Amino acid sequence: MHLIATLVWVFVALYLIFEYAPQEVTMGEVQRIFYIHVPAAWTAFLAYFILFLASVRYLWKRSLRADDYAHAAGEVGFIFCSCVLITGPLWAKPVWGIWWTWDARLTSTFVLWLLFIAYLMVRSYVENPARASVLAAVVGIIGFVDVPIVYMSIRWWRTQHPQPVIGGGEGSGLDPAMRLTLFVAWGAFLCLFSYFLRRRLRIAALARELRDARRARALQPAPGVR
Amino acid sequence: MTNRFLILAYAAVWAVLLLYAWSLVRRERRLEKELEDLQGDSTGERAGIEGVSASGHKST
Repeated sequence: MHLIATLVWVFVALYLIFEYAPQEVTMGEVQRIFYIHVPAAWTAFLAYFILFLASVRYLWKRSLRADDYAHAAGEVGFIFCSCVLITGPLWAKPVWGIWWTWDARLTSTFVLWLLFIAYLMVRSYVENPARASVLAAVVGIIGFVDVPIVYMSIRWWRTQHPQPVIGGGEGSGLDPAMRLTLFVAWGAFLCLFSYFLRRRLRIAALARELRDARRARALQPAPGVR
Repeated sequence: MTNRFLILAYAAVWAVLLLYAWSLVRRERRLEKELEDLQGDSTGERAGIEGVSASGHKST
């Protein structure tokens, strides 16, 4: 049911993006990348926020459920942050004439992507699961500092990246049809995010069940041994 | 020319999302199978042990 609702939302979003939203005057058709680039970025922020909250909860309460949420949000967030870094240069090249520049917004987003990788690497390479969870939680909490920096970078510094069109103060803004399309597209990304998160949480639960079953099996006496 | 970038961007994003969805399904199935196998083995072993202790002989 969740998957069907997600797919319906995705198709509605695609319809609005390609049929309903007006063509932007200066950039033309390529501006439609905006409708996946921005929602992917917002979804990556949300993922990191969940990672941060779940990591705090894990360190505070040692809740395994919180640890699962942090791990799942880290992995899914990495996927959406990758989408941002793929679509950004593909939009930049025809509009700016360059694929990449080390301005504050692009660099801080790249750092966010590296933080997702660092988080997942800590989880993979530390052998003791409890120690991996603690270290990963610390990385997740410290790394959260980068999220407001990414968000505020275009407000704090002069950047190649354009100024915000949502919540950007006077002179900023979007055509109502473009705004509607953007938020419907973000809705589609949120549906995908929650679908992935649920599947990833199920994987975490299965992995834990398997680990417990193996441990229980290892503790069983061998046949014939009393 | 610019449409090429638009198509590439959408194709790349959907490819990433679909590959990830596929990897999730694959990992979930593999874990389910491993768990089933492990539970199946445990049940078989328990049945074997019970067979031995009940009759003093290995059950056939």
